[in-house]
Amino acid sequence: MLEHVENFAIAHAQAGESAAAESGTFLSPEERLLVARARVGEHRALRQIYSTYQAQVRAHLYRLLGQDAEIDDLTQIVFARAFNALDKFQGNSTLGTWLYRITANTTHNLLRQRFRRERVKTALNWFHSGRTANVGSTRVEARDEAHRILQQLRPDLREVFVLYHYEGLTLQEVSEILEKPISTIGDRLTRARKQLRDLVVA
Amino acid sequence: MSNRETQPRTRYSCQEAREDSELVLSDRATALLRERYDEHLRACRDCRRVHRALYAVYEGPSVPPAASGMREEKEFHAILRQMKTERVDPWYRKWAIGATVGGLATAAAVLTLTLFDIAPEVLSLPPSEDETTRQLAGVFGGSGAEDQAQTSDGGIEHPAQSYGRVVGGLAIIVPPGETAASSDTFPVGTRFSVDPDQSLQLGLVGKIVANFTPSSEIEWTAASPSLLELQIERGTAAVRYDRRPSDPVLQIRTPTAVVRVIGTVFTVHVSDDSNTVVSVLRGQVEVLHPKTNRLLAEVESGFRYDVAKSTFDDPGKAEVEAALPLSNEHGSDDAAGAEVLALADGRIPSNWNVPGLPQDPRFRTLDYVPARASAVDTGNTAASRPARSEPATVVIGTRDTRHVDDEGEDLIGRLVRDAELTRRKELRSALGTCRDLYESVETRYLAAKCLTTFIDKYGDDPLAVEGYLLVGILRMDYALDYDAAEVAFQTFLRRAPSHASAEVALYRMWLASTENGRISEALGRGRKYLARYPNGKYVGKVLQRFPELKSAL
Repeated sequence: MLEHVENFAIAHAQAGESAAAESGTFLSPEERLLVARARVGEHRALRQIYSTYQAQVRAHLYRLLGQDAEIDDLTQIVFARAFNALDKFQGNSTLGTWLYRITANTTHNLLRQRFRRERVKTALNWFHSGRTANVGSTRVEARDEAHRILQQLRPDLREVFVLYHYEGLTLQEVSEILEKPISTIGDRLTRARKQLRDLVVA
Repeated sequence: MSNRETQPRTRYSCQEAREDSELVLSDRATALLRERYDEHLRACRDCRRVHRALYAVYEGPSVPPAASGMREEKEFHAILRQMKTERVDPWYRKWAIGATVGGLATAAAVLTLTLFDIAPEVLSLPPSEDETTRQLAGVFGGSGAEDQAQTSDGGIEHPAQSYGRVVGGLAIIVPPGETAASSDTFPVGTRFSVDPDQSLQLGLVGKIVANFTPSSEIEWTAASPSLLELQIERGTAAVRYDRRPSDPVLQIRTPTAVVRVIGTVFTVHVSDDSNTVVSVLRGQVEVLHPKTNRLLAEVESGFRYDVAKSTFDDPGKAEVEAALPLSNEHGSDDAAGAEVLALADGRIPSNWNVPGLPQDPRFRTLDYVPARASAVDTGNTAASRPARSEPATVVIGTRDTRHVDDEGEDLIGRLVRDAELTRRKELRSALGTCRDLYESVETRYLAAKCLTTFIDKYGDDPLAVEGYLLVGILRMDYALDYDAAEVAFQTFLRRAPSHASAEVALYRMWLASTENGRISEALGRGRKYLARYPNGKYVGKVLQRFPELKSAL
């Protein structure tokens, strides 16, 4: 059903990729200068990058991990790693996309670890008390439930779903961030949607 | 797309509805499919539950607000600390990399020396930070320093910005080394002893407006791109700092505390026994121990903190009165979406948190600020105010008593004289009110609104043209609204290009771009001023900030 749309998106993304490669850069002149200043350790430039992107990084971490006491610490780690790696930033993507990539690398192992732990916990709960009751009907309860459902999604599928649906990125951008082929991303997105539907129906 | 859209009306069960739910939720379903889906949902309770849950999943969890203010500042500094820890490599890696790089470099150097002549730049020192910036900017295709100078996104980019100006009031001023020229502009290291009868108003680095109550003792101790520092020995300082992200942090040091400011309106009072009392009207400040830098308190807006007693209280009338000359509220948007210029009118701004004061603008005046039982004597009571006929803005140095030019004072005096010559009663009366407001430092900030009303009414009159210049000066000095000020100066110059006060307008335009951090524009305007008025009144002030312009004379 969604395959037509996905194929079109993949073709469109590939066309976009070649266009970007031709143009050679994803940064505006102001951003290029900002990055250059940040590379030599100028605090004001680092501060500007942090102020511009901290909301994006924090929101992304929250969507990936849910309510978590470690989000502030992880935000700091992401920016510290980004600032230390500015020398390696070639300007082949926007700063936002590059920060998504660092966030994905920073959280990848943590997500897998937590997912495994959560799966064991759920299995034990199920063994002791049976399946949980149906969700409530109010909006707030439904959104809490949404968070709970999302946490049950496998980490690799969750990453793709969050980047595509919540962060509004294209398949091409998600593929660059996760460093996987677009076809893999498309496949993961389809599986994420199916798995979410199954989780909701269950 | 689904075949169900094109098929004649067939059975539409839960299975079909659940398969179509994603199309509906992502707004990709056709009207017909949507209709069938909705129809099914109305009849099936279970599918409604699934739809709600899926809708919530696709909508995503609501995200908590991003860090702002003090929290943002703390997090950024934590990131800078984290950067250092992240950079630490294990010792064996350092040695391994060092040995490899060293070996390769030696081999390469030997090979190069053997085979080629060495270009002189190879042996030169590594580039400085600025050079590196320019080089990197060049790599990315930017124009380096010029681009950087053009941006005015905060910060102190150029030494020309590291100056302060006396906006109004009376004080003994001791510049560092006592070498400063007779000028209202002063550098870091200047000490101020405010007159016992009148307050002093200063603008610092084009970003801060401060009001010091009578008999205050202050020193401006630091101005770097990351830190501005004032030292208060005695008296009360009211400060407004609308800080942008890359602007420096402001610190106020007293004998018993350090007040760290991210961006806010607040007062700091140091009593005769050296106790410190901090009141915050907007934003938040941190109070630290002066020696250990340990956090003593975080004071939020609407609170007053006594360092000696470690107690919180409500800010009182004295604190609000000290800060009132700094009041400036952003205007609302008009129908066309443009921001309407908001001029201070003596009311307490709606974004100041004064407990017990109604939000109704009619009651947001000093009269309605609840009196505190144990009010601190800040030395700025109404009784200590000077009469309006007293002269204002006379700045006295310790060694050489001097009178500093006050362009505004001269302008308004001339305006009144011209109005009297015309024998137009209503013009004289309107100007008289504005002059009364202007003459006292405590009410001078109100003159901008009065003059704007005057211009609205008599703006077409050739006599009123100087009013634009005055409004620009007041907007610049009190509201730090450089854009509005420049519009006023340009209007003046357009309407009266060869007016006697055109020199003041040109000088003020140069000052506006300097204090606003638009350095290349300031250099251009400075050159223009010096070319037009090589023996002008403000040549010294221009050269004080831009010595490199001496060649333009």
